[in-house]
Amino acid sequence: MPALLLTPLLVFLLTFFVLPFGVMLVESLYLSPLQSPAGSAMTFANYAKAFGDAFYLRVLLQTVALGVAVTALALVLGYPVAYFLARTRSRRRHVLLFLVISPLVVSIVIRSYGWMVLLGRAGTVNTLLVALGLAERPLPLMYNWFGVIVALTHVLLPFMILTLASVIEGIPESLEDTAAVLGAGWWSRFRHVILPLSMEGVGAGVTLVFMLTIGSFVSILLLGGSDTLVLPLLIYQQISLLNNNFAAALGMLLLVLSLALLYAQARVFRVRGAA
Amino acid sequence: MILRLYCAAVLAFLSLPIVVAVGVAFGSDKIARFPPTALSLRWFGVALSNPTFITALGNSVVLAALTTLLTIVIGLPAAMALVRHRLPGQPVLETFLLSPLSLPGVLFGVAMLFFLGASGFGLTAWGILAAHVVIAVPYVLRTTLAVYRGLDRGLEETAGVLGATPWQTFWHVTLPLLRPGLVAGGLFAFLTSFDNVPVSIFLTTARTTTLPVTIMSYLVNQDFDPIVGAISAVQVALVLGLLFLLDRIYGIGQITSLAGQ
Repeated sequence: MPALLLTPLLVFLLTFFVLPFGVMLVESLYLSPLQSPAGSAMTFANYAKAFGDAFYLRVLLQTVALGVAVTALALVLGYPVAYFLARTRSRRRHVLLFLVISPLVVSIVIRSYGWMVLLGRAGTVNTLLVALGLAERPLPLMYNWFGVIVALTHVLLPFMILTLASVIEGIPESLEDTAAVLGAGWWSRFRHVILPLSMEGVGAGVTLVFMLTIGSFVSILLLGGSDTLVLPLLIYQQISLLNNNFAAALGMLLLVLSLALLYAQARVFRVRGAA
Repeated sequence: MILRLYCAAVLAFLSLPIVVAVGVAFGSDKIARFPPTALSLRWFGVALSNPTFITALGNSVVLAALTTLLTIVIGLPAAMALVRHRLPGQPVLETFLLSPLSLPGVLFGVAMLFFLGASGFGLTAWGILAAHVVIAVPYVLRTTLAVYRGLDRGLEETAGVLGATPWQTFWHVTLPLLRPGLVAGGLFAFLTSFDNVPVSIFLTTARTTTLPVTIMSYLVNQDFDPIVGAISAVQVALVLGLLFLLDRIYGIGQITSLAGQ
């Protein structure tokens, strides 16, 4: 009986989810007909190309650096909001939660479009800056790293806030009260009580946001420029150029990176479950 | 006090691009600008009379509806098996079944492109549907699992003792109790399909293109035309209306704890 209920989903995912990655692995081990018209034997040439070429190595580094930057920004920006969300008891909590969640259900294309209107050369921000005399001429705010980082931080901040808030909520408020009675100021309460006790939430939020950043595509395609090349964009580019086999090898790299992070995330949650 | 002001600022940041994307729709300017110099509804008319967008919208609605239906049809029985029976390797199995959620969409899109090519299926609407079911089914699975785990097993047993057949128990007891999970999961499955770009962009053709993919290529090629603003306004109104309704019925805390990452 349980087997019968589970089989459709299991067979479906094995066919349309696992098998495609199998095909990708095989594709990554052959040269494309463009590189070797006579057909090719199995080879690691595609991987050697990804790691041996300074250009592709730079793309890999940029992917990781973008992940670090966006994760750090989301953590710093989101922590106070998560704390407020976890601690407030008022009716406002409900409104707050609605406002944190609602961006998540709006299409990323629409959110990116909003940023394009805001950050363009003749966009809202530049018009304001010039009108206020803060800039002499419009600043380049998009089609570069700045635009990418702003848009990605916006997309991923709710994930960080919700993950942190769920952990901070579990820390008894009485601990903070005790610390306050014993004379600890707000910084000391944060530094010695709340922060250490919320480290599991920080770990979970950081791995989640980092993982989502290095896999991001839409915001970077719309708000990035020619120099904001990261792994997902490079894969897309190679597919457009019909370098399918090289794209497959890059895909395997991203897959391994993502699986490693997933494993790390599972470890963080196991620690949390055991505590 | 400072904390409150800070939170207000972050929330403003979170709402800003959405307000802007919707706001430009109500301007009369030829180039999207916010705030608009003069108010007008003409871009809604322009958007509605654009056959490319209308075709893509139709494709997206049908695709998302079929995706939602299929995810429930294969996700619900699996969730029931996972909750009511002890299976070997259950944690690993569950992790695997939920894993499409955690991998980058681009990655799966490319893999699916290779698979459809190598297997001879080719780039058809069925291939896109299969791909969308893969990325949407974890939502239904997770929300249904969460609700089902919270249910009192005694209710189903009582129905059995009172002479209900397993099917009657399922239809009259289990299914109504699972409704919050199915609604929340179904909503997220629908949105996942309806908003998806990174998977669809590799699998769609001119005939099977979806709304977000069409908007995306429009934005890449033509920069910002208020047409996209008009489409955004309609979409945001629908989605937020739906979220508001669900919040009224089930509470937003429950929806997010069910579907949240």
